[in-house]
Amino acid sequence: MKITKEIIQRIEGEATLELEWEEQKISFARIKFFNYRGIEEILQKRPILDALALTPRVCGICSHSHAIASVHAIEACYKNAGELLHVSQKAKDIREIALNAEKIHNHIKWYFFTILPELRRISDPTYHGNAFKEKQWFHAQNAIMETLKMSAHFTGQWPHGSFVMAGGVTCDPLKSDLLSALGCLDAVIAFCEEHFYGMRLEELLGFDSALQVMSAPSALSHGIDEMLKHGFDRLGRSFDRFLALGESYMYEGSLKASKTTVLSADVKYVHESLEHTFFEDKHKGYTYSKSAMYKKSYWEVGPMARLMVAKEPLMRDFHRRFKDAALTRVVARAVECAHLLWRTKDLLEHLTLKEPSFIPPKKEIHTLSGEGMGVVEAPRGSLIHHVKVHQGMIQSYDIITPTVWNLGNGDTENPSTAQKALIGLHSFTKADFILKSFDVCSVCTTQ
Amino acid sequence: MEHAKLYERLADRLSNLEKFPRIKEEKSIAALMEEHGISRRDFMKWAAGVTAMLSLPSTFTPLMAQAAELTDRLPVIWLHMAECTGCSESLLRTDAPTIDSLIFDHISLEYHETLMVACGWQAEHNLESAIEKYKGKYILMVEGGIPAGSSEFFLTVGPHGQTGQASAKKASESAAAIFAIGSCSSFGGIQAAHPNPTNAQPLSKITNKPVINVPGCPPSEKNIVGNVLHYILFGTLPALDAYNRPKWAYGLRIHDLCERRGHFDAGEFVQEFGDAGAKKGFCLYKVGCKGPYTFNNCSRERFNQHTSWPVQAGHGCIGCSEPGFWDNMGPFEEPLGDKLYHTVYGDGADKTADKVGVALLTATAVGIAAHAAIAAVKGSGKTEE
Repeated sequence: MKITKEIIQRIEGEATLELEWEEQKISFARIKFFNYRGIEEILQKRPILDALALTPRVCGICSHSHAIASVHAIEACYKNAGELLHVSQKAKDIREIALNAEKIHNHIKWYFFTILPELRRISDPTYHGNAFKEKQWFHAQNAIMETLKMSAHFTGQWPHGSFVMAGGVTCDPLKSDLLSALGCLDAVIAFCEEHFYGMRLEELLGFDSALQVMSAPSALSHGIDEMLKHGFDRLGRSFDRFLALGESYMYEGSLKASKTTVLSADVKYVHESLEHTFFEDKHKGYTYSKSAMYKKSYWEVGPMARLMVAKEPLMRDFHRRFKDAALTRVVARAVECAHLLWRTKDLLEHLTLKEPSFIPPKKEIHTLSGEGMGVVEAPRGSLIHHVKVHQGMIQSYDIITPTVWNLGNGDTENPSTAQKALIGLHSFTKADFILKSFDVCSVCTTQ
Repeated sequence: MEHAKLYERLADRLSNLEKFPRIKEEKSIAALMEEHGISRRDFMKWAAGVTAMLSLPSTFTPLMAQAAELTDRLPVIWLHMAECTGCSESLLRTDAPTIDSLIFDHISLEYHETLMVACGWQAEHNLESAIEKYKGKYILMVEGGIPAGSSEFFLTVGPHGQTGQASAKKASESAAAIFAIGSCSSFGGIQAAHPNPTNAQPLSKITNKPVINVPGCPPSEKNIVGNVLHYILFGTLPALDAYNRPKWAYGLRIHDLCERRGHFDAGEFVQEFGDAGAKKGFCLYKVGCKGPYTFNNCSRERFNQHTSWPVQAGHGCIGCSEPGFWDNMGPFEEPLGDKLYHTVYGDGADKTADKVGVALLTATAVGIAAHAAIAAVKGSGKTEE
């Protein structure tokens, strides 16, 4: 048996992939994260509202998701303490606009700055390009900026905007802000239609067959062609189990899907495993990343999971052809991006500015005691914040990030979703790509 | 120094720099811009903006444009330590992306873990060879706090299993200039907040060389790019304050340039989020704004292409560019003057703050002015003047 170790770059933070080889095939994979920061510990004994500023710093890519999960957790504390906070539709919509912007920008960036260069490197191993050299990436960069500019009208800045508060949002946008935000969004939609999809959004969203997408000359179909060429339509398959715990306009409630059957899910069955971590055993452990499980099994979270539970026709067709292969996972992010653009435009066009942004809770924050959970669908999947509060001070804070669902550390009997997808591969290059197809985030994984 | 003399000196420096070979024989920045549809006029407009930001007279605009064109003589190494990648994200959101991101490409970013294509052994090799090849010439930018390794929680990077501390130290040794980008590498950041589980340290504690701190969580893209251009123009460290922050960016308080300042002076405050005052854009001091204690140019430069900044979105400044702000500035949603602490009289400060109100804040302002004066004295030894 041979073991190889490789550092993985071009993800958020760093990770090391250790591969065990048998007969030139990967027999097992360990995904190691060495960057521990201890944010859960730092949160303890601080005023509960400080969590709204602290938790976004878990991740520079999903900072709004953390802020929103955190505010949901605090609002749940109020609810459990007997006061149901009324959050206006306007505040809810602004939160969703911010969250959608974060997902849209992440998907575009990941596709153009990670997936396309990686595919090119697989085709040509001598390629060491810089993400900004190509004209297309330059346009992508512009689209990313416009997306975040759109949300900054409401959130103040990105990353790490402070705009949510238990009871609503702090911003009070004007009509001119809305118009300006719409202008930004239109620029993003124009980029996606011209470069990403090669067709109008309406057209893409009306499709129910993979072939319809593959025929258009665009970055997406180019990526699909490349992935087909390298066999990613068959590689990178995992358990074919999907989980979406946070709410979305595309489906109702928490759901799970085993292959194509969709069933309801409940966050109470979620638990964290410390197995193989330094927390459990300083000497035998090999990572700072915990694993998240649902009823003791690993489930895949993220855009593919969301679209599968939403029974999205186009995704279902890709799944019918390629199962949960790396190709389907990549396409899911692109397809979700189109849905989010459409949805966000609708939200912006119908935002009722007359409603209040914030309705203050009656209960004094210093008297709040109890616990609460906030669940949000972040760009990479379900994000859970669980807080226990005593007299307005945090007693304990637990964060389960999306990547620990996908990139957990199981063992040979019960591998995690990503481990299962890597076992059986013949080359490191392909293993690297498949690992990246999960949109790895090491900074949030180890907090 | 008189403007004319300074102009002459900088022009000399740039013409000398021009004689140096370009790092990579690729297209010039002018050609790149033309290819991306950016006119010379747009470029000059951008240069005028940066000139104003660095507090230079507008007549220096052509020099700034020339400095930007010479960025291809400048190798940059960007290291990630314990962080959230938010500073890199901020950098990628650079204002007028069409120009700044092109410049950053042009700058020849020799090593950036999130952006480069290389991985594994090759990545580590890239870093080593960049350090070797550009010894004494490269600019080092470090993002993230540095776990000092006295606990078992350390940061290991690369197949060699080197700690973050070791690579930061090594890269610092042969750097021409060192910038700590963001509050984490400047002051330790969130991981250094109490109880600092990983014993995270600022970069300045890891190396003996002078470190220019560019704090903020994240710092605005303009402060990052501005520092690079400043370095090209002057070739020396900028004037720094007591915390080694460039004065051109961190010389004034958020409060001094805040768009809500008029309301503060008029005594018009948001008493509670969502009230009538909030709708009218009143001052956020009473709901926790730390603008009066925070030195940065956010209120002038803003974020995301000058779109907005936290105070504009109705939330107070949390003081993220000050040392130890996680511990000193909290609770973030309450005024600092109300912070409950035990005094010899046993009352806590909140009682006094309620009674004295704005008067207390004025006293704080006096304290801050004293701090600024100290900064001016301390920084003067380091200026290029």
